[in-house]
Amino acid sequence: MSDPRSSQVTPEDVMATAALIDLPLSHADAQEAADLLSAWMPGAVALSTRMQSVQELMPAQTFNSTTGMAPHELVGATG
Amino acid sequence: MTARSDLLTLDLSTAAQRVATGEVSPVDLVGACLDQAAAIADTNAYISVFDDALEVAEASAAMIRAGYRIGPLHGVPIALKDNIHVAGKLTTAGSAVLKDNISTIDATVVERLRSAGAIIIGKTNLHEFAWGGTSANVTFGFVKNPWNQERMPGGSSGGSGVAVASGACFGALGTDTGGSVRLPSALNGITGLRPTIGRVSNAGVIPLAWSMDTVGPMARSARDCAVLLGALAGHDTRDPGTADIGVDDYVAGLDAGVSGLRIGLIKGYSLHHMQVAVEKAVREAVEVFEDLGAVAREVSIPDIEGNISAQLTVESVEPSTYHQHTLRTQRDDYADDVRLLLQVGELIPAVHYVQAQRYRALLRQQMLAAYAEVDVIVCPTLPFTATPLGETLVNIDGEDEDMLSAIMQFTGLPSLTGLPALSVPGGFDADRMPVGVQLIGRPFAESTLFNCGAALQSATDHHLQHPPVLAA
Repeated sequence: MSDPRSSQVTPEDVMATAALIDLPLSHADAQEAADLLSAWMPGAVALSTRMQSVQELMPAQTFNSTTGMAPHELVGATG
Repeated sequence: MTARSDLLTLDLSTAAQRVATGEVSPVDLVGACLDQAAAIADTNAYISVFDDALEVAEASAAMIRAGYRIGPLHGVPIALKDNIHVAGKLTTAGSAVLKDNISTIDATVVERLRSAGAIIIGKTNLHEFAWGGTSANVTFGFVKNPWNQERMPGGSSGGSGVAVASGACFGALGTDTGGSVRLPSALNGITGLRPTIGRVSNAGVIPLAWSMDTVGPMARSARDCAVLLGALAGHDTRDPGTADIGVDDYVAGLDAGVSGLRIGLIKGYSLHHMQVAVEKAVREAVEVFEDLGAVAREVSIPDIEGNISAQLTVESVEPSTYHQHTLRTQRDDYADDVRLLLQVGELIPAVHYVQAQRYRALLRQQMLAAYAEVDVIVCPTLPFTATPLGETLVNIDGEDEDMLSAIMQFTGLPSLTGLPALSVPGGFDADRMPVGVQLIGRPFAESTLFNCGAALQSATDHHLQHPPVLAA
């Protein structure tokens, strides 16, 4: 995005990124996408920043026991 | 002989029992539901009804006369969200992209329902490809709430919610990624379960977000949902995501009560930021539990803030992956709102997606730690009641908020963590629109949730109220 410190995403940002990933977008699409990303990105960046401080944590989406996790998996839970 | 119209107010468990005793014929049950589906056509609840359902009902009735009962759902009419495949039938996922799509396979959940004796009577409307919470479907019509047809029914399994609430089936299946079973259950005044991730097979179900998707039952009561889950649950070789863990007898413990059960309220969350009627319903539910002998206490989830962002990220990126090809070849067949979400999902950085997945593991650890102190966590299903059709903003605490984010405020927690959650009717707002209360349990502790739901429903009558189309 044009200014990494800004949460504002512009249609130009969107068009440039879309070109990188071969996503065809109209200018109207780019404007709507920019508006939505501007609303979502501050939260996403904050979450990503928070997770940078949490080490030794692997993604896990399923359960293999009724207790949820083995005790050793709780290590590092609070970062 | 019971009049067909009188059959519609029966709950699933009673209907199944009366079929078993020969008091009611499956033909009458199916006929009554098909008549009601036609009567509520203006709600756009159904995308298709099955012409052969009455023939199946005749065969089902013949079995009962011969003394043979297939299973606990013998002769009971059930509807399916239209993203669940039934061989030889139309499966559209509520989209023009698939408007002529005839399924070639049965989903595992369809096989299991039939093995339990259920009769599938049709496919219900939904938010396109399950990517939205209002069921505002531009291809098959906006689904309308039977309590007030100017209001939305929630989604994405809106048609299933409306069909159950209106008596146009005795139970239905929805799919739940970010709340799509629980939201329409709450807003239509019925009961709905998001099972533990991996408890029910997704084989033969059109995905939204693989890592959060699950099929879930919707019906009038906790007991009805328990009967349905009993038929659906279990390991499936067709779905490697299913857990090879034993299935409880969900009905057996329903009358155990909640004496001594520890009910948790999450600090700064369970009673925070919601409409007045919703807070009142949650507080009243907790009071009922306490009156029945449960103990309420607060628990902390330190990193709960961030759950909506994580959900938006995961629930955007995964659908965009599934739809990547079709978005480029059938762009104009998508509704504007869904097309935008699919486009945005491709633009989210991969690192944000993976960090969101790691956050889910962190949130899950903190939830599991809380379950050392409590047995069930209570909060709203969603922070507001049904909004006007087509509305994209909702007013909470005097401020207008984006509907998509607001609707995920409470359903996101089980979706992200994979924990089971039951939405039960909690009363009504000043406009007599239903309010939902959500109970969240430990992994594979659906029995506890059903037990709590049944206890609540033994002490209240919210789940016995019917919308005007059925009460008349």
